[in-house]
Amino acid sequence: MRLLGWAGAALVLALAAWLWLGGGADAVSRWAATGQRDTQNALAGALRLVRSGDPAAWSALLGLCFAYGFFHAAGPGHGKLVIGGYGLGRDVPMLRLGAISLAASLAQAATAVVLVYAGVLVLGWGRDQLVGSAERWFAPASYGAIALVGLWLAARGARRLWLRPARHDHRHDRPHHDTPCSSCGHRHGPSIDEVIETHGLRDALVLIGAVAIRPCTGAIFVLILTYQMGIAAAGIAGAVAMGLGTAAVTIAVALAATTLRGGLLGQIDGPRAARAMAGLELAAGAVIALLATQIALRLI
Amino acid sequence: MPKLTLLPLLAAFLPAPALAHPHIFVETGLRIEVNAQGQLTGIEVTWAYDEFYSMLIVEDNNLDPDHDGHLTPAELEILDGFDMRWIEGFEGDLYVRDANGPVPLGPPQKGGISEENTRLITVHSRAVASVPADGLVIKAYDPTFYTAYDLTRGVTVEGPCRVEQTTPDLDAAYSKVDAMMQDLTDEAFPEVGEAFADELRLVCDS
Repeated sequence: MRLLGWAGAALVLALAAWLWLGGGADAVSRWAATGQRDTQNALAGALRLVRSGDPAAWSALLGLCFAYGFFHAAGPGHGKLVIGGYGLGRDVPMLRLGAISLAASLAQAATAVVLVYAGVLVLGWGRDQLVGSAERWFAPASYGAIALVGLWLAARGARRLWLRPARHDHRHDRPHHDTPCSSCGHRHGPSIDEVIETHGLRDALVLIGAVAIRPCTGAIFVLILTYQMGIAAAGIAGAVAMGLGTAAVTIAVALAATTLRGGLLGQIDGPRAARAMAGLELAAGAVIALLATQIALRLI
Repeated sequence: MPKLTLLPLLAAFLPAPALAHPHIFVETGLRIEVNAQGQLTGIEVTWAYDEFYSMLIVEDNNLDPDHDGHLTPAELEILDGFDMRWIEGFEGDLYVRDANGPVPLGPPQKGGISEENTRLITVHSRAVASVPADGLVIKAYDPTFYTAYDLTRGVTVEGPCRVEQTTPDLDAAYSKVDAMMQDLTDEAFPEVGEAFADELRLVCDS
């Protein structure tokens, strides 16, 4: 188990090193830019085919929307910051964080649908106003919310680090984790109270909300086009497909972050483990808060 | 230890502004006008928009009721000049420099609009107050890289000059983007568009 943790952490670190030092980020940017160009051109054609009543065009449209969401998310972005940071800083099962990533991306698609239809039908807005409001209000709001999530993580980490450092903390105030806490010598089973754990649910809703505030511009474009073309259902389905494409990337980030955390903390024994966990939470929270605040301030 | 690995990992997830990759793709053509005295007098610019952006513009204007992307002359008439209403500070994404710095270009003069395989193509001209053409450097780019211009519609020179075209080192350009993204002390959004632009240098026989 520990060996597996090591291997996982080594893999994630190798990936980070490739992105960071080995020019990997350049390759990803380049691939994403080319992919976006081809995808959005093909998207125009698929929309026309759906409009013309070709039933086969639906699958093409949904596939392209998925690809668009994926390419868009392949670069750095706000969802990955908060999901990756949370996965490093908090003890959260991989599957749960993956599910949160999926829910956040789908909620983000829902935001786009609500924004476009409220804007078009209620306020009579056009594309410029919709995209403008998304960039002017929703993007800084999302980064502001993410900064608050970071501060909140940092505060929880700090509290555990300084206020209760000596006592062996065995309260179930953290989400369930499936590696045994080595200082207590037994494995926690998933009990009912952990399954309905209020903290975990609250955290999940906060993460989903912080990501979902900001609708994706691409989804807004497709929703407006399909509304204008009289194929609204295709647009809503397309927005969901884009959300799934984005989720493919954020879920990967969730897996990477929880793997890295498990690998790192798995090496630490005894009372130091609790301090290391608190320290990691504090550091991850502080970095999220710092980055998100800087970006929110730039966007205002 | 955890803290050492945390920063690079989070940095890999760094939120970049949407500008990291372009959203509008424009094939650009330039016709560079040089008079008999070897002075640059104007540049005619052709912009061929990608299919998706063309579709957005057409639908925004409630044109093309059958949504097939093909436009009537009357519809093109309505769209004529849609990309000529430049806001304050927009320089037309065309930059000319001589040894002393930027050479000012005149406001855009409309030169027509057409549709080709559902893509919108517009033409406009920029006048230049006669500067010596030899050695001038011309680039077409959006500083924010929201729009990506390439010169695939060709560059021609009318007059006693020729053009030397240097393509950018894309590896270096993408490295620059990543470096600027990581520089969080940067106050404004990084302006990386120029790094992706071809450089055109005018060489004239004197």
